[in-house]
Amino acid sequence: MQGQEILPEHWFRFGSLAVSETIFTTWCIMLLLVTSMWLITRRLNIHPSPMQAAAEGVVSTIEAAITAVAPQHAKQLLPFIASLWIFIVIANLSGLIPGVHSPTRDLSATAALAFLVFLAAHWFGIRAQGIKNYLQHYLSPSPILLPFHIISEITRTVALAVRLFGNIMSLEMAALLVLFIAGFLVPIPILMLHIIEALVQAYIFGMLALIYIAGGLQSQQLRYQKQEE
Amino acid sequence: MELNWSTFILEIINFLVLVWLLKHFFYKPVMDIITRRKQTIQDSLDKADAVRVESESLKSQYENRLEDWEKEKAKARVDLHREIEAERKQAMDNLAQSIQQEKEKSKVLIQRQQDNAAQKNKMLAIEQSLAFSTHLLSRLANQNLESAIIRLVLEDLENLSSGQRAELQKACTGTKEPVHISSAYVIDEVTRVAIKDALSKILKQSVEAEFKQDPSLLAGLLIDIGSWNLQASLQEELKYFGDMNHDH
Repeated sequence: MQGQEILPEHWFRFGSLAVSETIFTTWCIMLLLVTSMWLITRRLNIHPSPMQAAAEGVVSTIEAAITAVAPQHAKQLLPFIASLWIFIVIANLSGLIPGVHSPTRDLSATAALAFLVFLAAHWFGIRAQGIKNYLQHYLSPSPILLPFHIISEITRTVALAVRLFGNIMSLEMAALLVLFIAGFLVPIPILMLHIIEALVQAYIFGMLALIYIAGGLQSQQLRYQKQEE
Repeated sequence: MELNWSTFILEIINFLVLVWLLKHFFYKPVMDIITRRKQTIQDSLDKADAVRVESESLKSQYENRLEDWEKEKAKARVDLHREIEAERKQAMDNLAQSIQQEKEKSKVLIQRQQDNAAQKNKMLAIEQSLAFSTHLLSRLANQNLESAIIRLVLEDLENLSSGQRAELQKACTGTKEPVHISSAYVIDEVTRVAIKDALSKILKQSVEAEFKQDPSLLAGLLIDIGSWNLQASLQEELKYFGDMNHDH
């Protein structure tokens, strides 16, 4: 059973692409998110309802967090970073539902998210300064450091993926082990820990993604500041 | 813990679709409504600022008006006090003038009343003294007194001025009438001769005299020479005394 949980089985295939349980759960989460967001935003008003106030609070809080790190690119980064936070929180918490497979327990899913963060960091950097100026920061302060920059980019992306996958997988495995050994009521504290861990890991993943992207943007800004000096 | 490329690729696609969906159906509307609310709040703040500025302007204008009104009020009060003071002074002057006129009028009236009273008292006193003198002289009158009066008359005739003598002589010129001499008592012959001699001396002609007795004279003589009357009697003196007081 543990082997089946760690290595999700394929449900069906679209040509060469196999649809696993992770993908199916992701679709469910997407459907849930889009539906709930549509229900919330279909009747927006200047005088907000409680649900609208909560939605505005979530968006405003995320925007404030992005503004604190990259104040000049907050609106540009908001969709990607906010989607990361919201999706990972829901994905992490979905494991609490009996019989539901948490997508973030799958290394392929976390690797995909980390790869997107990797691409986004370069995409926003190139978009802001152009590819030539952006790639120059890999040669600063010395071209000798280029291999280290490349290694750093790969390792931090791998670390991002493995950290989320490892924490969520280990948390669910620990809950299963306690459930097998102690019975039904004992895992409740473990489930409480699961909620906290889900939120913390989502926050860490999103904040690291924000920092990586902001690092790519600010590296150009630091170089401009040096040139101005 | 192996990497499934199908899941990897589909997960990327899924997330990108999710980002697009959330961006268009969640973040954008929510950010728009937040922006609208901020704009509404900003508009309200701007409107409140405008109202505040306007109210401060109105307040300033009101304070200026109030200050102007206070100045006008103070000026009007000063003018009113000045007018009241002028009117009061005018009224006081008129009153003082009226009082002075009344006082002078009263003074004249009192003086007139006093004069009338004094005149009345004087007249009363004279009448009383005249009555008393008449009564006293009526009781004192006798022949001796008349003789004394005749002596005084004779002395006075001798002491007449030349003008008086001329007037008497002129009155007797061409007159054949005798001189009428009245007395209260009967005059003796010696006295009669003396009187005729004195008259003849004055008139420078002989004088015919007719003597008669008139008790109303009380004592003394009444000599009629032409149109002239020489009166030297108590009755005439008392009458003269009374007439003199009436004339005054």
